[in-house]
Amino acid sequence: MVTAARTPFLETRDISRNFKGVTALQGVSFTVSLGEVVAVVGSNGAGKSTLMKILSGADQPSGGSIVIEGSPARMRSPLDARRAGIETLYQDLSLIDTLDAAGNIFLGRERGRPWALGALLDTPVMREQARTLLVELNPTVPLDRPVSSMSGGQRQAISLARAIHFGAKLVILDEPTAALGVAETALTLEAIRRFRAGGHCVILVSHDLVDVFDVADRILVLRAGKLVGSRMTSQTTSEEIIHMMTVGTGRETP
Amino acid sequence: MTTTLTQNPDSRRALTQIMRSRQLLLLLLILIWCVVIAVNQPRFLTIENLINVSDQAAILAIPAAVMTLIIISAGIDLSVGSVLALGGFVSASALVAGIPTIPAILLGIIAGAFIGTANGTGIAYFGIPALILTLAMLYIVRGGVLFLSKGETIASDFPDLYRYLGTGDLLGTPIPVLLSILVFLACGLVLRQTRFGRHVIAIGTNEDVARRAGINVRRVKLLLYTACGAVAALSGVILAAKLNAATTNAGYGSELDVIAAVIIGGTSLFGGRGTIIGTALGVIFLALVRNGLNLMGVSPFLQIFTVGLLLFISAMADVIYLRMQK
Repeated sequence: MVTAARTPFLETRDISRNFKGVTALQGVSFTVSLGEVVAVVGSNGAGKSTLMKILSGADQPSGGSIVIEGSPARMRSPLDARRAGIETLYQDLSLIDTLDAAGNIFLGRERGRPWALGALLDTPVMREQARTLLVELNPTVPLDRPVSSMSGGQRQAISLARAIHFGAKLVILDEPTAALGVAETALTLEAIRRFRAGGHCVILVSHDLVDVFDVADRILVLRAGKLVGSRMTSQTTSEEIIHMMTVGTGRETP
Repeated sequence: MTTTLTQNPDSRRALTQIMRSRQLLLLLLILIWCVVIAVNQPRFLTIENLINVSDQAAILAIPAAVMTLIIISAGIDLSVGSVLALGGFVSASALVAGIPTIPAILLGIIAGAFIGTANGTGIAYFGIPALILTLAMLYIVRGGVLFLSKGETIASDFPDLYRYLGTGDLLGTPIPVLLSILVFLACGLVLRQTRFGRHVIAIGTNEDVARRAGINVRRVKLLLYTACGAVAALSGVILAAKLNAATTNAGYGSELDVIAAVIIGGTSLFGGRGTIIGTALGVIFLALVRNGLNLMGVSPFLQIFTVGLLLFISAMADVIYLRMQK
């Protein structure tokens, strides 16, 4: 997918993070635009988790700034990030096993019946909206069962639907396919594409370069806390990315 | 991101069905029990006896309904038995002091709600484990009632309106039974049809996720324990009205009967799963078992044994269900 030049949704400027003398991130600057899937790759300890924590509001940078839609953002908590339109889906996933899909998508923001002044749950409306959201992301999700009985991919679709419903513009996915089978992975990647097609953007943290090349528009490579490379997926190879991850420099690109 | 291992979805779904029909199973057990006892003791199935049974069951049923919500939230309240005594003691003392009936009843309920609020505050805002805090409250409240009453029963000629709460009836249905039905309907509605109930389930299943979703976990817990205190005290008022006396040992040990009824009704002690109708059946079943064994002249010791056995089976069923789900 070709991304036209436009105001990026998210921009980081010279982000750094020090932990008592250890530099976890140093001078990380990049942008993510709406309609774009950006993958962040790197070996263990390259600083991916620290960067994601900062972007999700769970951690604060030691230096540098985050700009959202052109204006500086202060993200002191995950709630700040959520308000700014950034939703982070972690590996352990934030679902309530005993509730169904609609119950999870609307958790904390349940719809009430107008005639009861909102005191009573409007289950039919919530279920219908859940159906509309999920049919786009993963049509195999059953609507009448608790999510405990669902597969990883189905649970992921519910999390994504929840993020969309909350008005997230940027979703950060942390190793979304790490525990999924082949078919499930395909469904998740498809869900990411559909999410992108809806004008949203995604930051994908993944070890799996096959998935990254499959779905990402751009790949950022972190090594030892520094951003050592940024490539359009269409203009690079996994050999080059691996080279950057391990050695820190890319080959000359045309 | 995360996977639930779906090794055998079919057998698991079948199991879920069985568990969902756990209430049906309980209902079946109740019917079988009724038939068995009725064959031996024709007196068992008389309207008079059944009304008597439900009248006695009502005292435990009222706190059991709210206890169900608390256990679904992965909490527990061990203080209900003591708070029951407190409700009776406060309302009876107020009457003796010349306070009119309705304010006296309200005072009893408010006293219970106050203890419940104390429980809720300690659990939700100070992070004291519910088991320990409510156990402490069990002793504190019982000790307080014993001290203030000097261990003496408050027996007096209570006003008719007060007595009506315990001994009156409406169209042949005892008032305590009507009140417990009301409490059950309210709790059922709250659990399945309101945001509050939804949040109770979420908190009981995974408190961290609930908090991250923006649910005010502390407020939900505070309200739950406050409500539990209030209805436990209401039960105590009803008991005192029924006996025409507030005894200091009222409700002694009843917290365990209440919890037993909830668990036998299929609510999981691990939180997140349970039904109000299940608890209603649990209360009815326990009452019918006791009454039936009584009528057959079975030793009270063996009755206690039977309750223990039922509880054991329910707990096993719960654990097996959770295992199969994993």
